[in-house]
Amino acid sequence: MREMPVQLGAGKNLVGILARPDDAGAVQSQTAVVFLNAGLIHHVGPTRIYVKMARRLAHMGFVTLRFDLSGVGDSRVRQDNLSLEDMIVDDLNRVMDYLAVTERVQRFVLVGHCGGAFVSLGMALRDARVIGVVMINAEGGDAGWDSYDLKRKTSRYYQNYYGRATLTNPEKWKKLLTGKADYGSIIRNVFQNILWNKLSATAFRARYAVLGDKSDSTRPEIANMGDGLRTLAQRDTQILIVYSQGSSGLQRTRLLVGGELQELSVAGKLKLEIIPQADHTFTLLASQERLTQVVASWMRAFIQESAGSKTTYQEGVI
Amino acid sequence: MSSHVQFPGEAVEVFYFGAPDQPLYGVFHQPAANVRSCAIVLCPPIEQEYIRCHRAYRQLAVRLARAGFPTLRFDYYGTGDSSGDEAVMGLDVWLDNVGAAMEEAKSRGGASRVALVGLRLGAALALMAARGRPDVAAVALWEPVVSGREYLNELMAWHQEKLRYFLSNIVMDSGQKPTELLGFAITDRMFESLTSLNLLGEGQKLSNPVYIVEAEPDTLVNQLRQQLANRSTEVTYQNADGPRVWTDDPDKALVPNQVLEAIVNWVSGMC
Repeated sequence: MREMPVQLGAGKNLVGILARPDDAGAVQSQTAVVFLNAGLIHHVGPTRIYVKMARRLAHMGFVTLRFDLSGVGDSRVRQDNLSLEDMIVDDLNRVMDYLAVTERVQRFVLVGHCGGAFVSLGMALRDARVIGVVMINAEGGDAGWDSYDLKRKTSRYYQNYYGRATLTNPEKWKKLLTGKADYGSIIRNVFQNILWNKLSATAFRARYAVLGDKSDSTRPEIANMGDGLRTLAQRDTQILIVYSQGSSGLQRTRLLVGGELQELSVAGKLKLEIIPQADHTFTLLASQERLTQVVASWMRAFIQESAGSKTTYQEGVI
Repeated sequence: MSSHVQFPGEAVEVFYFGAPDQPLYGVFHQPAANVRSCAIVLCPPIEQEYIRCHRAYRQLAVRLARAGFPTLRFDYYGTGDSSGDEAVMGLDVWLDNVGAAMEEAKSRGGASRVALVGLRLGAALALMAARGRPDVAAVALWEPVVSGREYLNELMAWHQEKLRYFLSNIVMDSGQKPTELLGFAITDRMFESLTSLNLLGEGQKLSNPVYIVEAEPDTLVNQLRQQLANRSTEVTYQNADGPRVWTDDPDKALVPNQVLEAIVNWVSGMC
């Protein structure tokens, strides 16, 4: 595996790191993997997970590029006044054109975390060169769900704070029983931050499940996710959706496109993977390793199947 | 292994440099005009703090280049886009990396001297790397980590905070050495290396002028400032308000304008 920095695009403003397999002949099925910014985090990804995944996939024989969209990370803003959506599409077109010429690849798999997951879906719908998308923790983009997510996390935080470690701590009990505890703070945390937030979140989810998506604040790519997934499946584009266990994004996706998930999974077009003991950014190393394994296994199986490839895959060590 | 492009007002080049078996990722900002003879090396923080401050660091590099300084941003071995993983990381390796970055910056910028600017652990490394180097014109420390032990305690508290948002309650054993913090492995080597860091224990006199900028006065930073001054180091201290970009959510895209401006002004006056 060999890495090199590249600058490409309009005015060569886009910066990325290209990872090439050691053996050029081992490039798998002329397919390159492109990593998309996780929100505004630069191209190393949250907890440097893009670097780990890109290197693992390059060891397996895939050309990979982790790059920054215009105005993000190391990439300069563009000078042509395009809208955000048009800019993203044009940036990605230029990236794929570049890889097609320099690496002689014709097919692409887009990998995106958080906001990058929705970018991967949107771009795949626009460009048939994209034969696979990996959507990791596709969350956000809806004020109602963002508020729901915050309430759940706040409730969970205080629940864990007052969890077993505190309840079994003699010092805490001593303070509580001798009048030295901050009772106002305890009451506020238990009743407001834990119970009220939990009730409020449950009510939101129930309302959403019964009434469906009634929010004007939902971004179109989220509201139309079901149609998008179905369109990709009809075009034979493979889809891997990965969520951290307990993610509010997973709950929303199930409520929004549960039928499509089921149907497309059965048809072998879509795979849903859930990573246990993981938060949004994969803070724990075990969850990072699990995520990397999930993506690598999916790539291996998907490429073998879609290309009818008889090539063997070289597993490497990062 | 480099790529070069000219933008209005500056040129930016991305490349790998350093030892061929341990290449380091670098981004060089070359001023378009009025180029100074002193290059700048930006020493980043590490791990989670490095990821979160990236936008501010890039902005700092752009502003320094516009002020005429050839400026190099880079990633230490085992961090960011540089080669390697956590297994061999430690202060000694990163100090060597700062040395390699200084040579690279001088060479690319055609400069005879270099100034070091560092944030958090990057500030500690900048100060340590400057000792005994007559070619270091100045050192700017932004919210420096003074004690590695204190720094690890901060990271452990932050990590424990993050764990409380998990579905199941995961509690760190406070009596144990951490094996991972905030998404990054902490090897025994790295733990011991960080624990041994104590800028107050560095006895050698520093002849390079030093600038310290922080949002709120910190006891250890104040002790460092006094110690440097007592050893005849020229120290300039400044409070400058600004967001804690090394811990803030990167999606807020915050840039601490006052701090960046203060650093550029001081370096411009010294070099």
